[in-house]
Amino acid sequence: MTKTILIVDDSATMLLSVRNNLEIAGFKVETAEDGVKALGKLKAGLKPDLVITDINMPNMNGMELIRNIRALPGFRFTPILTLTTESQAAKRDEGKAAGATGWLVKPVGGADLLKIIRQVLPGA
Amino acid sequence: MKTHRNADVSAVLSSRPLVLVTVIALGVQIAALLLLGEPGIFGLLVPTVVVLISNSVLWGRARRAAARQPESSSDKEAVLNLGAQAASLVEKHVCLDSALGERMQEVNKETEAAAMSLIRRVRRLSDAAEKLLAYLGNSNVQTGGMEQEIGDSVAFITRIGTFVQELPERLEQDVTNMRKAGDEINQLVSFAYVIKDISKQTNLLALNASIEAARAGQSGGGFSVVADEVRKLSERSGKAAVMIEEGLARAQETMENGLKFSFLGDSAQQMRDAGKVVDSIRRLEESHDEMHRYYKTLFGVVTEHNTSLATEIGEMLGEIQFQDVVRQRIERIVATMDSRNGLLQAFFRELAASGTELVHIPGQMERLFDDYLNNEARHGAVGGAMPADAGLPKIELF
Repeated sequence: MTKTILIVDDSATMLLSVRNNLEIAGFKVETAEDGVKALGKLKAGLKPDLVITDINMPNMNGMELIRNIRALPGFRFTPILTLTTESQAAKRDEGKAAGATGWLVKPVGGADLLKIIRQVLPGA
Repeated sequence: MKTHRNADVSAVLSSRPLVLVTVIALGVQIAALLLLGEPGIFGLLVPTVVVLISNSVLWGRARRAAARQPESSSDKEAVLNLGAQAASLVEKHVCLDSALGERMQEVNKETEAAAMSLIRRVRRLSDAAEKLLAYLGNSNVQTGGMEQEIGDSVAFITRIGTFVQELPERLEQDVTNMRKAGDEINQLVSFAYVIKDISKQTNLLALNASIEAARAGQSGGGFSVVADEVRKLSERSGKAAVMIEEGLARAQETMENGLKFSFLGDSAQQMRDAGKVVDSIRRLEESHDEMHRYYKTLFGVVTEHNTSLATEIGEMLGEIQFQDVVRQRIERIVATMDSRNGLLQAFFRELAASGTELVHIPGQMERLFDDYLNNEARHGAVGGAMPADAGLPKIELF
């Protein structure tokens, strides 16, 4: 069954590049430009198998989004990967504490991204 | 980082007078903007860094000048005059930075548009490759179906070819059998002659018996009836013999007519032609097998290249993420320049107005500088100019 992935990033370039990379690999992709819109989609019934989110975004940043997603019913074990320019240990620790499954520092090559996705989505 | 910056400032402090350094730095920025037209990221960043350093000199000199308590009214007037000149210079500097900031934002938009266009083109390339692969895959399946049909047809035609090859021999056998049947018929014709002869003699015998019965008078009446029946039987036998003779004659004629039409005259050529047909069919089958093997190899090679292409496309899409990284760095530079200029303007306005020591603004400037360097260090793994946290992997699962 086709897995659905939600990508959250305020950069149009990021959304389009990651979307294409994942669609070519056979995933169904949904996108949101910030945390507020992403959370709105999830509350409206979207149930992705994986969330990939940026950290520095307007309206609601990635850390807040992760915390909010973890508070939603049915999303306790949904894998959430960050895809961000933040590379410092303190930020990673904050992300881990917020409930992120993994931390990816931009830019991430297409093969590496798919490899890590298949690790957190067995059978994908 | 702070030590590094202080070392740079100290070096500049010992080299040039305050105003000269700033003017040179501004000149470099103006030259980058006016002469290069499209200065790009390095044409903008390099003079910006120079101005940052020169401004550090400016603040240091001005702060020390302000820290010195003017001993006379002429000293105080000199400080105020210096502050006014510096404030005027900073206003021009702010205008220039504003223009540079706008250009940097344009660079961001242009690179983003180019990146988006590149992504779309790459996606079309990927889709085209995927269609080609699907087409080849479909052709491969169809070829498999054709292979089965061709195999069945070849087997059928081969059986026909073999039959044609064996046909002359079978005809020869049939002709031999027909000749034997003809011989048998000839023998039957002689038997028909014998029957006719017996019939004639029987008829003659019946006639004689009738004569003798008539001589015997009344006592020969019964014998006369028998003689008459024998005569009738002989006549029927004779007629039957004639019919048999005529039937055999027609059968002989039919058989001889059949034998006149012989296939055997062209049998050698027919055998050669039949052999060629079978050989041609077998060659056709071998050609098809070879073509199918070639097609399978071609499909395998194209599939391999397509997989490689998909991998490269994925990597290319990953590399495009650099645009977002660069965008964020440029936005950080522009925001830092705006904050710095706000502090500079405030500093020199107050200095020009009061001529007193303004120690808090240089402190804010130092914090701004530190904040910038710290934030930029978050991209150390990308640009390499500033070290990020050592040893941290780019990808980490918790």
